[in-house]
Amino acid sequence: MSETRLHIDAVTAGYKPGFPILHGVSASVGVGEIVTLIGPNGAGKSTLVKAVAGFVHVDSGSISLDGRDITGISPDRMTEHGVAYVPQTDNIFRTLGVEQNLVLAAQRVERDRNRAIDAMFELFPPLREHKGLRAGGLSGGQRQMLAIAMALIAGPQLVLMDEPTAGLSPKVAQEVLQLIRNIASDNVSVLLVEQNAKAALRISDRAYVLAEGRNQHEGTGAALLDDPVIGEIYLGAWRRESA
Amino acid sequence: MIGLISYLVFFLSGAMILAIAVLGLNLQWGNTGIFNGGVAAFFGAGAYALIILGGPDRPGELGGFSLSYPLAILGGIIVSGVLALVVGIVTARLRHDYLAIATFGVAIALESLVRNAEYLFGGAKGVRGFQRPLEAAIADPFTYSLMFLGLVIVCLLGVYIGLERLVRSPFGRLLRAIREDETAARALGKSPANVRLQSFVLGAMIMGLAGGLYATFYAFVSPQDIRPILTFQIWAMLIVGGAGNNKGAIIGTLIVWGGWVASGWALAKFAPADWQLYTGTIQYILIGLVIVLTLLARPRGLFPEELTVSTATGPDGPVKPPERGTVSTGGQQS
Amino acid sequence: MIQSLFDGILVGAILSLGAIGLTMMMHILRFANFSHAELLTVGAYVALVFDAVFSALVPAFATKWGSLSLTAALAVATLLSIAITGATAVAADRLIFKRLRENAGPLTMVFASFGVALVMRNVISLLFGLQTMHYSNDIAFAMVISLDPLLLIKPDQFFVLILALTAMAALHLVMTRTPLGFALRAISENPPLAQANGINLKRMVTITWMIGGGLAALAGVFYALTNQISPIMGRDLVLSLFAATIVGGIGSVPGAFIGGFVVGLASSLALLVIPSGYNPALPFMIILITLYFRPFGLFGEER
Repeated sequence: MSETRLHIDAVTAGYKPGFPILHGVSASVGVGEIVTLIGPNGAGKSTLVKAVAGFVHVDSGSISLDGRDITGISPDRMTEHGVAYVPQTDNIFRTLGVEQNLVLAAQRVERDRNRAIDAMFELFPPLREHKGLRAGGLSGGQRQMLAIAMALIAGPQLVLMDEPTAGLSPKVAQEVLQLIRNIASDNVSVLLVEQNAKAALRISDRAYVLAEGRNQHEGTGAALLDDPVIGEIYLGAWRRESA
Repeated sequence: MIGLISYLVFFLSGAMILAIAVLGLNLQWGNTGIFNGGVAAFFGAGAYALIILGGPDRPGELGGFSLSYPLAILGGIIVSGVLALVVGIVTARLRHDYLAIATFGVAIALESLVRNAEYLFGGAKGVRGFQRPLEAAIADPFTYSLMFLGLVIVCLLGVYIGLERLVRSPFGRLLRAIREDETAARALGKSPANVRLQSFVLGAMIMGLAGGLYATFYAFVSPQDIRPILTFQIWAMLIVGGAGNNKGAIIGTLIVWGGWVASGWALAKFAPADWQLYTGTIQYILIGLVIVLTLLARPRGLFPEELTVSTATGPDGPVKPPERGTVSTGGQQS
Repeated sequence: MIQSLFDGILVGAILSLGAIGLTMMMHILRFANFSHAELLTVGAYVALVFDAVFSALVPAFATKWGSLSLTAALAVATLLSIAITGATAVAADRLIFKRLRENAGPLTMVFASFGVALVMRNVISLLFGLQTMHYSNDIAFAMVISLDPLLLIKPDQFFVLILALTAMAALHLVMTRTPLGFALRAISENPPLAQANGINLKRMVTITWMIGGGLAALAGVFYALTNQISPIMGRDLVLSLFAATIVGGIGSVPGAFIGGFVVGLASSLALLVIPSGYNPALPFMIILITLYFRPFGLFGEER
């Protein structure tokens, strides 16, 4: 395994101080690694991602990136520390144009913002095609492209993604997951929450199973896919629920 | 001495009438979390309805129904309720601050209506000539004013006891549940919009009762009596007393009304002559400061609410649903 | 009729200016700010003070421009007033609304905004008196644009209309062409996502108060130029401003722009059929009709 980029150490956190949803959760993500969080509803997967992104109050424990402590930093300053966050569903500005979304996201880039925007258009040609369109008018897959482009534009070290394939057709979902795989091959680390656990595990290097706000299990993506117990309890359950 | 006592009776009559209106507001805001920016309208509707229904014939103007006093005051209560029903139905399903704007608008619209529709409501000069109940039978003015104070206190006690029983009943718990978490209340199978509307109308009817008593007290009503400042005074009384607490509402009324009367007296007596024109201005500033400073320094008032359904500390928070605008995180954990 | 149309458009432009700031605030902070209209009054009086100061300091500044009542002194005073009124709005937020936002809910802020309005309006009454005033005491003569139908327009009115439209066009450019505009729109659409994109929420809230206060100051000066200055001018306009935001849809800047004209024209045309005494009730009727038939206004979204 490569060197650790994100280190989550015994984090207890929740939306309101004193009412934790996570109870001492630990996890790590290596450089260029894709790590997926799986578990039943209410397990605290999204909460953990939001805790890293700075949206959730951390009662105790610590979160560090490349050895620097980033616990409790406000969400709007996370980007300075190389963290990008793609929220679930509402992850683009629907009332702004496609290009306007990117211009806004590019404000975090120190210099040559136009080049950063151009780079995203190179990476996602459909976005260039629709750059004048209101982002609300994009198709589901294109929305995820735009959301991911907004996250990547400032060259983050860590991308946090909350259910990037929610609401997409299986084919488009597969494309988005492939896209995430490509991101990671550029030495960007990815922490992912995914409903579609089986598909996500296939592109993941490692995964953590959470239940009731606690670490339950961890392993490589392949090992978890093959684990009969995990398969029965989580993946099967997920298959039924998402069917 | 008799002068002081008779003033005290006068003061208490006014204060107790206002306290009834404050109790009506407490049902709406304190118990249900409904914002009413037009207390003066519902108070005024009751006052005008009483005096027109129970008053003498006015040549060329609406009136001459000569209803008996209890019927006339009931008429005022009903008119206020109907007004609230109309406003409530239009705004019930909308964001709460629409109700704030709409109710504030009702008060402005009603004031402009009674000020201008002379043939209906007497215009700027108001409606005079109301014969107060039993006034002819009780010749002595002091005895009469004592009797009237008694009537007001009976009404106040009736409303107080009724509301105390109401807020402790299952319906009262439902009101607080809706105030604190509308979604959860909906999950219980109750229609929050409907329950809120009931509370809003009932509160407005109580304000209508207060308005009717007020019109009886002065045997006269004019557009001056339903200006927006009345709404702000009644708010200040509830906020100082403590929203959600009926006892606090009554004490808050005495404190704020006492302060209002005392500041008016002091300004009239001590302020230089060329400042006399600005007495009202200074009193308005005081009411504004009382509202703002109480909300900042003692948001739960002098007598905080005793009944709660959860860990919440009063209407409107701190336990509140996630507001997107207030930098909350939104969404659910998975 | 044509005169009423012009008067309505003029009032409408002034209402639009005030309503745009109000709708932005209501969208971002989710509360109906009843003290917003008092910022128009603050703006008009601040300009009055500095107009007097500059006219006294630099006599050349007191010369009128052509047939307008506008002087260089008033022009500079207005610019200062925009800044000072914007700062007043920020100060009210810091001292009162911000604290309530953190400790209580949006409706508590609505209560407080009434209190703030009472204090602002009556402090101005104490400082400047209850009487009405004008920037210039000379009588402004109207130009006869047409005799049949009769249309009289004062140069000041024409100038105010053009300037109000220019100011709103400038704001429109900012909102649709600049990153600052994108950020303001982003914050009102989705605050958490905006934060995730590195936008500082508190800074944007401050900027929105500045813009709202600045536009209100401009509206106040324009209203004062074409009508009069009085401590109750804000109180008289507050319901019209809310009506404009509701007609346009709360949160929509183009909606507030259109809404202002709708309310302005409706009040002006209503004078032809309804006695003027009922005019204060008109915005309320517009609000009720809008809420009944189109609850989220012309451009608003359900939320």
